[in-house]
Amino acid sequence: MTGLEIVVGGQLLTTIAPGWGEITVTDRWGNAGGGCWEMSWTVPVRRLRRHQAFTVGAPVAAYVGPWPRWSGSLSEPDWDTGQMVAVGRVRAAEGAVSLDASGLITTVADVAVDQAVARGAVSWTRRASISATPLLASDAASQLTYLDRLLDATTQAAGTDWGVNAAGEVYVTPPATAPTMLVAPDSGVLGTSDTVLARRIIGRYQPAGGGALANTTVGSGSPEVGVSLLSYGSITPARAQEILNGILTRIQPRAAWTNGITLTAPQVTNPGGCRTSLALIRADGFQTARLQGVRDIRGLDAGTNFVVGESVWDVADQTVQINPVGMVAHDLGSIIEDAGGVLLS
Amino acid sequence: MGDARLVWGSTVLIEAADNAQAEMRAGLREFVFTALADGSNFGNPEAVITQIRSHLQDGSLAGVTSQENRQGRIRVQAESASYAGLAAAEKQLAGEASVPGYSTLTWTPNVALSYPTVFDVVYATVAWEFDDFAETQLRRYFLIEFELLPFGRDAALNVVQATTGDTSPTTSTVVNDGSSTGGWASFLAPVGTNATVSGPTVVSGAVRVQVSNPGGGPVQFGARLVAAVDLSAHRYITVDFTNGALGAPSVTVEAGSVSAPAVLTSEVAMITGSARRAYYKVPDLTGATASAVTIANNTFELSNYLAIDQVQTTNVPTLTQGTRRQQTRTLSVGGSARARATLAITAPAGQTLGALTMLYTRTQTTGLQPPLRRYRSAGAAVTADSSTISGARNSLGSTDTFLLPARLFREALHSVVLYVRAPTNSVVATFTCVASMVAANGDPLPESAMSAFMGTTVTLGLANVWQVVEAAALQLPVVPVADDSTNLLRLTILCSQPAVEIDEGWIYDIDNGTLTLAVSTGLTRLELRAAGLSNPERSVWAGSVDGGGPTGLVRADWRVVPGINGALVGSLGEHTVQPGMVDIFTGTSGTEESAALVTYARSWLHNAGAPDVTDDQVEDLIESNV
Repeated sequence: MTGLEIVVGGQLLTTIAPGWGEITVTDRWGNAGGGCWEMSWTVPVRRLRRHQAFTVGAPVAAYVGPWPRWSGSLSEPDWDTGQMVAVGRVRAAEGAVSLDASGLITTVADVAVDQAVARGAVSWTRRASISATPLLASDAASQLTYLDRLLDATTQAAGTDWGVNAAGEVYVTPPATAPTMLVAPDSGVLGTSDTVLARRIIGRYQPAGGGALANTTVGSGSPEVGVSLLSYGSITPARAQEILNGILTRIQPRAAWTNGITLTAPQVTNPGGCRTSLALIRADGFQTARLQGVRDIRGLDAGTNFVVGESVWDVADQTVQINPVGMVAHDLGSIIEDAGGVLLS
Repeated sequence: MGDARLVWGSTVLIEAADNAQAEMRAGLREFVFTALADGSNFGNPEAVITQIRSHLQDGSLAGVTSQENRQGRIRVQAESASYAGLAAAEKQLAGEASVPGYSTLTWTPNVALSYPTVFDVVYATVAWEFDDFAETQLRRYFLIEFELLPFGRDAALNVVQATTGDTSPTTSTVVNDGSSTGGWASFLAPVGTNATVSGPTVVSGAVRVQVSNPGGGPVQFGARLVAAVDLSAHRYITVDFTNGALGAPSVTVEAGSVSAPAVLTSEVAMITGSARRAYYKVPDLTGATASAVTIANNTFELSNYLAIDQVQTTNVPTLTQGTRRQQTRTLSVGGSARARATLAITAPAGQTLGALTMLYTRTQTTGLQPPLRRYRSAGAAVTADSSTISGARNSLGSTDTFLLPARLFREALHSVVLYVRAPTNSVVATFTCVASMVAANGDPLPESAMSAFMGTTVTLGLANVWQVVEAAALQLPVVPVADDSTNLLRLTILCSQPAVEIDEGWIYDIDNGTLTLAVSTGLTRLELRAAGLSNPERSVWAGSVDGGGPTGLVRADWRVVPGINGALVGSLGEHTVQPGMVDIFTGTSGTEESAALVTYARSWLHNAGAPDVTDDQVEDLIESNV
């Protein structure tokens, strides 16, 4: 049996703090940057013995055998309780400004990421292009100062999500569709709140070249909401449509989930019916769970499919909690705000 | 008859009573201890049980994950000729309870006939039991409460070497290919029961015998092949067999009037079909030619069969795949409980383990061998290269396809590890590894296509230097299959850089097995030590100076940091050494003569058995019988 091995500052936790435990590994996807999110564990507290590897910002990685499962960096250790928390590399984006090589604000995602890497603001690798074109007509008018906001807006406009994986690679992917895991019947149900957020979105934006505000609409049915896209500055109708479609994807006309479910290994299989390792169940944008025998209130499907928005793997307990995308932030205002718009009152 | 003996650290708690008391009365010793059966107990290991939520309609799933310490208690009577002597006895016990480090409690039920069992003491407390009458008699009673590690162990360490290849290169000669019954006769023992054997007949290219055993008693049935078998260069026999679930047959080799059993050294699954191949070491017979070979299985069942596909002689005791840089080995482990063991892999004098060292152990083997090349079915042209691990290499510019018997996979997380190189410096390569299932005729199975979500991208730093890449973590088999399924698991590997070459790939079940992987040049010995009382963490030790010996090793955990896609590497975990046969796979890029060893004290639930007979002793025994 191969367990989880944790490395802190290049040193094996087994070597520097025997007796460590109580590990939880959290991944997130959707709404904002995702991938490796947080990992916590405890080490035995011995008076006056604090290994020098446990310093704020030390690189932390977790492996299952040779497979890198999680990576991030250590936040402030709590030496009263021995509680250690590491945060994922994706979260460095909250503290990195979207600058180009001349130090000016940019809305080209590739440029902003590459420059943040070059400045050392984030420790990522960009393997593929996220977007090589400016998101907005005028970079100077952009309100998307921070890298996480720029990437959120860029991916929302494209109907994708972004994250940073255990290898430190920043990547984008559209919402997964086909189920990648089957959850056996009677494993739990998703509580729902029947607030229908919006079926039709009317966006108001500043067309290129100035002049009067223009409207554009996506979706159909009611209720409808109005969204201001003025913070983007001057944009084309096509760009406005993209942004609104991104918002609509996220608030698909359905009831919102109010809880997740906690699973043990015998309750989950892959689509072929093969038992799955809990280490593999993670919110990385590629995983869609299908609750068998739980009728989807959105339609006629005998099972309920949802994209895994958060996974919390309790290693000692041998359980993993999966929360659907759409649970973490399902109020309309924050979704629109994430997309760079403002809900019109 | 011998007496019982109980020793705590350096204090004897059960003496040979008459002599000791005489010595005490003569003033030769201050006090005598006598452990009392009344109120004493060694306790039992306490199972740690994990409940697992499941969908059983009735009942529930639970598993024993480990064992907790046992709580022992020994009541001791101290006798002396003086009160000063009684105080000295108390001091002796208190001293044992407070020795620095950890002490042991050694129990021998019968000094003459039984074997000592050592319990490791985590801590002990000594309590005095007041007894006014005993005080007047110059006796005192103490209750010693022990916290003991759950299992007892042998006092001495065992060192066992895993079977290994003897010479290079691997050669083999077909003795009989099972295509006709010529030379074959049925075999049945004992005679005189109701059992009968039909055959041999040839079915699907294999010589097959069928036993009918109406009484259901123990019978041995099989087939005897009369043929001149040249054993001058080949000291091992392989038998490819199918027999349901009877396990590897036993093999007896005859030379004229002399016959002796051959010792099973390993058993592996074949690539295609359901046959398995067993390897046997040939006993040292007079002369270099055997005249007959008998292959037979034991059964209690009413009917059964044994089909023999092929009999060969060879010079290796186990499957070597490509070159002997990678080998499947078997370790024989004694005792009745899981042992704390040190696993070591060593290079012979004058050689090193090489840039890549892998040691993989697994429980409940299915016969799946990690190396992938022998399962390769399509891909770019292959170049033979004896300097590689697999004996060959090929470009990954077109998709490499591997077909593996799906029945060999237990439902588990598998890790795919590749050994690759690029012709120029700093090549950024993305490896994509996808699994799916096909029927034996190549048709895809439903629901069996897995998507490759993201490949693994690495920078291959130095030109023409082989490097390890962790390519994928996959849940396999994609679709569970029956034990006798003929379905195949298809694994495809593609690299974004067509100039990248692959030597070998490995597939490791890391849920049911443990892989230790080190990337370091110049090592001659790598040791994996299990945690013990005085070293609460497991550790990795490496040696590079003394030709692989155990002295000169240094602690090397800091060098063996997991994460292959960096520089110095590894994969670590707890290797389990269970009593029975432990399956070991080793890969060493630098030497064909590596050896795998386990050093351990046999663990016992309660009482130790006779010392293990070593392989050498078995061979001596066989030779003395010849």
